[in-house]
Amino acid sequence: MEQQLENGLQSVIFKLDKELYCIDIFRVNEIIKMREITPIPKSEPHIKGLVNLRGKTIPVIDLKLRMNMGNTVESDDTRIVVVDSDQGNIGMMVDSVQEVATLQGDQIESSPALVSDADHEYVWGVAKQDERIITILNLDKTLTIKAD
Amino acid sequence: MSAEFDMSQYLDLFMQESEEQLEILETEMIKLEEDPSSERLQLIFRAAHTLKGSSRAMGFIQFADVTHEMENILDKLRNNELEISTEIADGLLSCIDCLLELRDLIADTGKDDKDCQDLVKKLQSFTSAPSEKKEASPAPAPVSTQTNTPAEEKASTPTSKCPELSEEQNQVLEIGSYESNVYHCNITIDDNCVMKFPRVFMLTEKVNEKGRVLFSIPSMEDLEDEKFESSFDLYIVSEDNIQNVKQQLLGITDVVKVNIHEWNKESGCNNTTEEGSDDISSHYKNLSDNLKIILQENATTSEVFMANITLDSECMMKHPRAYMCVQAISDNGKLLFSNPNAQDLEEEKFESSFQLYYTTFVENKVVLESLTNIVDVVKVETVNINSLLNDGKPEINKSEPKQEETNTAPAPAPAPAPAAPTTAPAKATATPDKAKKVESNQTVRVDVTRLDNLMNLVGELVIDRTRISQIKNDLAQTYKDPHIENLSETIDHIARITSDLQDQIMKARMMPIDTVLNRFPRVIRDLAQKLGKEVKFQVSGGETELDRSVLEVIGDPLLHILRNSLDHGLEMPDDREKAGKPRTGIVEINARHQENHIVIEIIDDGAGIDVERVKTKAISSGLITEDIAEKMSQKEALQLIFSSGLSTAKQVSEVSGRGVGMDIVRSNIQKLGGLVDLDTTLGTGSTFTLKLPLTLAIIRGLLVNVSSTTYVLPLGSVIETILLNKDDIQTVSGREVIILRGETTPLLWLSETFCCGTKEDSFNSENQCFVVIVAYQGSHVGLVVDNLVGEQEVVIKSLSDYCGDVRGITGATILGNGNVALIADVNQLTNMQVA
Repeated sequence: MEQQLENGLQSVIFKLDKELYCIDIFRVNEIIKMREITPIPKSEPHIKGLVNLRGKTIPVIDLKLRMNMGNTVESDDTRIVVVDSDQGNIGMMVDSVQEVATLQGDQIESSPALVSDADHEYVWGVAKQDERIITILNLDKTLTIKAD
Repeated sequence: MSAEFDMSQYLDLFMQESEEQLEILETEMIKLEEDPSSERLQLIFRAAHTLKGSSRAMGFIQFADVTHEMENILDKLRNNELEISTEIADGLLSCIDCLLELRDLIADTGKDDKDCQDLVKKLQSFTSAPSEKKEASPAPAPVSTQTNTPAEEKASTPTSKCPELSEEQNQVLEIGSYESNVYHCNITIDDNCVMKFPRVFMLTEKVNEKGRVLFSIPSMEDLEDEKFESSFDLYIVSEDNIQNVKQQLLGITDVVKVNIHEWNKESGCNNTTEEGSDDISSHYKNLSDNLKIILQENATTSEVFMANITLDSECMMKHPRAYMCVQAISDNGKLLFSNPNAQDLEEEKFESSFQLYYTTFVENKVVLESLTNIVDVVKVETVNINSLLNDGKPEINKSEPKQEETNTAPAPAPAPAPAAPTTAPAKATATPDKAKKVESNQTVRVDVTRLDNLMNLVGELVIDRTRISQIKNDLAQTYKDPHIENLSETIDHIARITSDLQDQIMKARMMPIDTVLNRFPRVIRDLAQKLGKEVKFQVSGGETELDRSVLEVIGDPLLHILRNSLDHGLEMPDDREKAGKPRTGIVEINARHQENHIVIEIIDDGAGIDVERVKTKAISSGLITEDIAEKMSQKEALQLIFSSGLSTAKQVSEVSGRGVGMDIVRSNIQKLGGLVDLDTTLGTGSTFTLKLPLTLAIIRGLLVNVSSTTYVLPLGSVIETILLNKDDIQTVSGREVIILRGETTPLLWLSETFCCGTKEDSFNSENQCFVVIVAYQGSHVGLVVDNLVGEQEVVIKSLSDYCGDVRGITGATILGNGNVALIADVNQLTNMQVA
């Protein structure tokens, strides 16, 4: 990720509650509207279930729940961001998708001082752009299921 | 190009080919001992030969050496210079082992660095020993050339005449000749033609338009198998004249040459030509009786002429000229035959003169004129031979070019009518089929993932189709429009096509179970030898097809069961004799389709399983207590042999007896969504029955609702569904059960297992609930669901790795409404409950 930062980080910016988060755009396959999610019994709570993505079934996680921010409440703005991972496509529920933006290298701080320890592992860095603070997520860490 | 030729690109090809050929070798070799027929030997020989060729080309010397020695032995075997014996069979089998090793080595390292000289020497000892025998009997032609019929020899020496025909064939021709004209066509097909048989087929089709094919040399079967070089002979009857037939046959793609002439009874087509005879009538006299009969026949209805045509000896293009003469006659009448025959004319096998026999519908002088006008024709004599036929003196019309003295002397003479055929036209018989070749399927190798993708796409299509039809229904309710009628027709059509498409793709993934079973004869043979038992292994239903995903996993379980049958099931030959059974035991595999499943039975006629001993053993190894053992039914006790750590074999052998095999068998089969059953009679044998789904990609499922979510239960494990009154539920030591047809069936509440719901949710207003009875290890378990939705074929999609291992769920599928439904793993579910 560091090398890409030279040219800035192209990212998808989305909202969880009122906070802005972003991930590398090259990890994003597509963004879809909410659809019927089939729950999987006895799976981790943050795994909401499976959705049908053009004939494929992909798991969807509640990103907020994953990050200990409480349940996502579905609204018209709720979206599923489908990302690539080692385990195939995974959908992440977010409250709303804001924009695609390029974060310049000088706008990014990789060592956030403000975030608490518990969330630290999901966070790769923080960017300040136009008076906004955007948290850059470490996608792989976010997706990895904690073994507890 | 550099001297160092890059072989790597051919390595894949070589590996593929060697795999195929080795498979042939292995399966056929096993059968060879029992049935050393020449076809089989030929097949094996061919495989070995192919391997030798390709390995040489690839530079795998060891590989080539071994195959070379194999080839030597096989050659002697098929030439009857060697008798097949157990040692030789063993030797050949060890060759195959060696080749398999070499192949693996090549696959790993790209080289065949393994010394096989010991084996090679061993093989050489087979071939060198009976050398006197070889000298004593001159080696007959290799089988491959034995299949060459005279027609093929003819092809190599195009100057020869008709192939020798059997009496029977001559008879067929004779009968045919009463019907219409019989022609002998020697047809040459382009060497480079890749589809020889289709061409042959086109030829015969063409012939059938105006007649039929009597027989062919080589036989039709051989032609079908493309067992001919490039030319073959057809004997046909046709109403058409010789030229038309020829033209039509030549019109077919890849046919490069057609030699055609009429067949006549006495002479066959082997007309000898009498060249240089000046006496016109001598030409006639030299004709075979058969040709004379033709002439006589024709003479009864019309006048028959002979034209003796002499060409300029300087003529460079005799055949075209002769052809022009034939054409000239055909324009004005009908050519009966020529002397020399058409083929010889074509090959210019005549000095300068030849004779044409014809009838004409115009005045003969017209014919004479047209003949004399042909370039290079220096002399034409036409004779009305009706008089000759009547034993009169022939009247000769000589004609030097540009000066004609034509005159005809009609002398109609009734010729003896041909004897009416006494036998009905015999069916065209072909030469006996010498080598029934194993049919080689034309196949394309396709990556399985591509087929999977196709399957996915079709799955989507199915879902969309359901949607469109729903939308149409909505439209139909809102609007009254004739177009909607059209739409629904189209939707119906799409529905049919998609389900056909689905079927076809499913079929594309199917392979015959033989592909797995083929390796067993070898294993059984070796095992039987090791154990000192005599076994006859039989397979039936090997052509039964099932999905390759299933095939990949059933090999091991089957092998385990077979080993068990051999080791524990079958008795030693002496013991069998004492028990009044034949010394040779029989192990049998039967495969067949049953509804949407494949059923595989492994039957042995061995000692059977002693249930009491199983129980004792289970108690001693702590699997069950004595109390439980006493209460166990025979069927339940038999299930014990599938549990881990139990073996009834008194001794642990190399083969089996460690008590893990059957455990693996059951778990593997269950993983596939299949069932294992066991039936045994002490003293007469045991039968294992495997019931497997045809495919892992699609199953028939029962859709049920549990807490407003739809789940799919594989129909394969569903026995029945019942509507249960709450009052019928009883408890046995805290566990809820029902009595179903006298059998105690435990209940499992899916709402509890899946959804943290309560039992009460499942009951409707009348205190009833639906129970799906499923099979579980020989007994039944009832799954309580909220509602039954329906039965449907579902495409199985595996759960994402991300979800981890979800107990009780095997996968997911997409329903007609686009929603995802989970597929329950009945075995795991019931396991969870019982455990």
